[in-house]
Amino acid sequence: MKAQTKQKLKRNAVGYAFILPLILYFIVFQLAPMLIALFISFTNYSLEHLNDYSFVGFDNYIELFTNSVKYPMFWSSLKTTFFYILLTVPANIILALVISALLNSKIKGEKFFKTIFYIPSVTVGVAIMVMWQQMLAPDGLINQLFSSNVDFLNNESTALSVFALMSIWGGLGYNVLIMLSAMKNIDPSLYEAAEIDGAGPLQKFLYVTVPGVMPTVFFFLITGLIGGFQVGEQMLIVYGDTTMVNSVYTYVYGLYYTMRRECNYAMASAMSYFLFVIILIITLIQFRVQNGRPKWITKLIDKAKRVKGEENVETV
Amino acid sequence: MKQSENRKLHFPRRVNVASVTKKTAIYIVLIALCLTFIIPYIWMIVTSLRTETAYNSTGFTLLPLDENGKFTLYFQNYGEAFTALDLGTVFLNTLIVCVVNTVANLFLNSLAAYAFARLKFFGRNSVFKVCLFSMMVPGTVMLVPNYLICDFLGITDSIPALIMPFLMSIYNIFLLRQQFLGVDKEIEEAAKIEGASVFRIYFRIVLPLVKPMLIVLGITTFMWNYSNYLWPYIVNSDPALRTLSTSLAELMGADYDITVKLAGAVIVSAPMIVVFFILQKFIIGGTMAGAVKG
Amino acid sequence: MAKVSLKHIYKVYDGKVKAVNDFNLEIEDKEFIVFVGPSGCGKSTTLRMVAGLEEISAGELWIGDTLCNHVEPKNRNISMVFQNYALFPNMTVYDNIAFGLKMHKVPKNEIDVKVKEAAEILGITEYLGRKPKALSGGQRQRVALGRAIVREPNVFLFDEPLSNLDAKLRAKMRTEITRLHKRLQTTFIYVTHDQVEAMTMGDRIVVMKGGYVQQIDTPQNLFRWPENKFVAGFIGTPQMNFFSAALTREKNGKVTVATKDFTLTIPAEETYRLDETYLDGAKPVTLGIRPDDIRPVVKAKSGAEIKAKVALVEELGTQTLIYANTNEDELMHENSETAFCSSMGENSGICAGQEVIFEVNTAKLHFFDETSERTVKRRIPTVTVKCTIKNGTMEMLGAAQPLPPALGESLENGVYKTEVPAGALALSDKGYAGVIEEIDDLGKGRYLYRVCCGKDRVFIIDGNVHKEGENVFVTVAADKLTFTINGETAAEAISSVFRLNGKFLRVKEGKEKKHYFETDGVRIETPFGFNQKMYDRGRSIFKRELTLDISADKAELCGEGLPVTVENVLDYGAVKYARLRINEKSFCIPADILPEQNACVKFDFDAIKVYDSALDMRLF
Repeated sequence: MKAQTKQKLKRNAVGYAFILPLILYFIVFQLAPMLIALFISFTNYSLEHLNDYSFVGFDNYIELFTNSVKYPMFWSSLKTTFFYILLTVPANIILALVISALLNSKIKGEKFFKTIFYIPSVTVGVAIMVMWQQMLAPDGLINQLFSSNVDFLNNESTALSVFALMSIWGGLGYNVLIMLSAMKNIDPSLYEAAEIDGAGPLQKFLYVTVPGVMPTVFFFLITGLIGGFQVGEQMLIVYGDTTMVNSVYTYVYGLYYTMRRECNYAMASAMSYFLFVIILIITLIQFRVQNGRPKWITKLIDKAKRVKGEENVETV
Repeated sequence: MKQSENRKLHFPRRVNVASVTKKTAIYIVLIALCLTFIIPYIWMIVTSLRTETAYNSTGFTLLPLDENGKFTLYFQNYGEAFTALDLGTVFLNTLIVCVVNTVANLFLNSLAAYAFARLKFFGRNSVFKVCLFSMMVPGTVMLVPNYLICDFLGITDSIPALIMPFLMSIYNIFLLRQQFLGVDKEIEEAAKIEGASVFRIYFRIVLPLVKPMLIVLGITTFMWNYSNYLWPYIVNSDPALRTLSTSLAELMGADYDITVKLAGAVIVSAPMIVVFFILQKFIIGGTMAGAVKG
Repeated sequence: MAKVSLKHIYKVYDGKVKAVNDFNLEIEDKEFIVFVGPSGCGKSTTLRMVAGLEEISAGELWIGDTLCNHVEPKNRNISMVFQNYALFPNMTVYDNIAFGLKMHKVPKNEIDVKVKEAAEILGITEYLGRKPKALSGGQRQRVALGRAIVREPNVFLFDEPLSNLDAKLRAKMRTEITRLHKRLQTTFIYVTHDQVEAMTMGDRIVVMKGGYVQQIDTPQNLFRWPENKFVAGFIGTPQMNFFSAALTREKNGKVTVATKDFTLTIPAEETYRLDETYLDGAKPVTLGIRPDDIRPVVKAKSGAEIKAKVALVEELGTQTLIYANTNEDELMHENSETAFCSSMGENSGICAGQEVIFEVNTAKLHFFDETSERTVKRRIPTVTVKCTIKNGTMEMLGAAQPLPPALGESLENGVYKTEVPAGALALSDKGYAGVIEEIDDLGKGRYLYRVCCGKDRVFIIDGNVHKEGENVFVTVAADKLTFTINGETAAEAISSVFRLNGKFLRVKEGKEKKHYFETDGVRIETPFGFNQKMYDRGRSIFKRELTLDISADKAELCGEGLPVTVENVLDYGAVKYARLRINEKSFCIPADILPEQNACVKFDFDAIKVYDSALDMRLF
């Protein structure tokens, strides 16, 4: 055989040997599941029709949107999810901004505070929910402190806000870390220049800090939207797969309900795909706004750079 | 002579009243906020060490006190939680999942990442682009499809089903690829000229150079698998294969004393919090540097 | 220990960007070769192709007797020292040096002996247990050298190894590497952007720019005979001074060079090498004067003087640099075209603002074409002499000889300007009589003689040693002369290579697949061995527009082949040529017999050069 061809063949063989595990993994746990789920979303595959399922076309999707008898919670669950996002995303951004600004004002113990705020992020999610559930119980810590007797988690008017609060509390440490590193990346000479021009602390915050962390704010907005649409795990932990509290019945909670309680795999697949479409739209909007590379990729590159402490990391 | 050496220069210290007030205000806000983070944990630990009756009669206390206001440590809750969680089996299951996934992730991801960063082969960029695109599919969307494939493969209710969907992470491949791109190419070329094989260059030369990143990824992968709840909940219904998270969730919904439930929460969460305090540098550093798994 | 030869090496990125163009070099065993040039000139790329780190787009790389284009780096028996040292940070110095040996499965005790020996040579024995991080730049570089020498390779490659060191250490390591070369007696290929490094270290230097080789020669020859303005400016510090100028031959035969502000007379011996076509004062040239050849004097003895005002004086201790300008108004302009630099020994009290007389060493002037930047003063020039054709005789070089029949057909009586390349002349025992005036040793046993024949001076290359003043005879190959009259070419030298444009074809004829080269509607079948060579380049060769360079003496007329029309036969006495034609294209090949009007031409396919017409890249 020709030396050149042989060399090329060998190079390709080595390359594919390196990514062989990835290809297998990708096919089995990314590609095949998505294709199977897509197929199943067009059938009536469920616990009752495990072996005799049939092709039903778009019926699942149509039913999901229109059959308010069978799926009474669909539209309200979307609304709940939307409310949840409204409660958490702006609060997350504002709190992260303010607290990072406080931590960034050359105070002692910055590391201590960061560590404390971060503890929830490394606490097992279920344990956090146990803790809060007991604290929010009618005889729990909160009611004891305020000498009240509210069953926060089983009250239609408080439940969703309480979940939002828990989520803000749990994510604060992480958000502050990200925001703080963005603030620390702002060129200090910008502050000096602003100071020379006579800017006070508030002006410096508004005209230097905020514009400087705008990309991170946008990042929070997008990840907040994407994450917000996926909320449901906390409710699942607290209430199990059946809740009597309608105000916490989010879209993904409904998905779990359909999946585990009703074992309607076809409908669960359809709901997964609908969720995927929503998130895809958000991502595409983000692509458009950032024109070109999605923000999370830029973030990843930054992360890679900083962990290495090097600047010469090539881009995609 | 000696005295004059020891003498320090003294500048008159001017106290800026405004800045002190400002600083104090900042500290008050931060410490208050801190309390909202610490108190729940203290409350959880203290309560888990008291009897149900003591808790009901006195409410919140900073120290574990019994109903007469005497300091006592009531460890029986932990014993009860231990049995209720089936901790022996459950901990072992969790450990297997975490260790296998962490090791596999580090090795397989870095293998693929190295290929994408440095090896030249037909179709490399196309494969990489497809992988990047698949990163847009969030984990929640993958739950049902992944359940279906496990069902299709007939491996639901098994340890492999718990492990396999998280054997690799395209996200981590991407991070590692960026790391590898940052490695000085000359070092690899030198090794190539000296006669090292591609695998040896990857394993012996390049991998040690990205150790900090591997440590960060190792910790985050381990922690994520440790607290993962949804997947075991979806794919597994065999009580013998429960993990810490699913077992604790069951304990939470079952009819146990509040003190026992909190003891269970402490047992499950303590290891990771301890690990966090030990490896703080890497975890905070790693997160500071960007986003973690979402 | 091995020769390295690079034959028509190209590096093309994405099928269009050419990083290296037609790189040709024969590196002798034990030679120290330096590639030098500004960044992006392709020197590192070429080195990396030799190393096997970069694929060779076209051409052949031979190390020793092996074709190495597709040999893995580890099997090329080379070692390389990198700019950033490229030490393995996680290994000790010892393991770094031993790495290559381990990879080649050398026994442990042998490795130990070799590593310690290398460490001894480089004086790094005490650091063997350390990690590279704990070493200084110079020490790291020594470790990198140790890693290279311990393998005892055939060829050492250095990729700007000293550019990360500070100036003092660089000078020290420079001598150390030179000493290492003497000690190891191995081929060294060294890449640098620093011309001082190149000049001090290299046996021969390859000057590159923009992917093209500018000149390959010894340091002295590069300095003395730069082939173009770039080489002239790149080699030597301070840089050569350049002035826009014009050359003129005056009525009395003297040649002068005039710039805006001064005029210099060129000594008679130096004028023989000048290209005759530039002497009418019409074609602008660039005059180059090295700072050493322009010195301040009280009064110029030779009369070659320049008056200028001093802008700046730089004292360097043993050397003083004077920056001056012949145009006072532009004294402080940075890019003034009339500014120059002069270098002298110790300063004799010249200071800025003074008007000073500078004397120019007119024997060492350089001239370059203003647009092409090629030298107008070649070391081996093509001289132009007067030739009078009269009734079947040609009178040149102080004697009359019979006119060859081929020239007799095209040349009428008259006085022609004749271009005589050095290759057209040979020393012999008959022919034109002459006297050797000057001898120039070209190296490798070749000498360039300047011979005075009659009134004309010609340059002849010969392998035999002759003395100055010796009487010799010169023969002229008439087929290599070009005759012009009144600016029009009357008879051209016969080209030794002819060029055909066309394509390779694959044709199915019955069950057989046949291969042809087609040009201008005619085709010739290509031999089997050549087809193999084509397929080696990939099938895309059949789609490309190609240019074939065929050397005329490898072509012959015979019964089958490419059909041609025979125009006429040119009889030059000693050799005879047939002028052939394919449609519009005509060319000459040597032919002894008188052929018919229509014939076929066949050529040796192994000796042809194939170029991609679009890329202008040699394929094989």
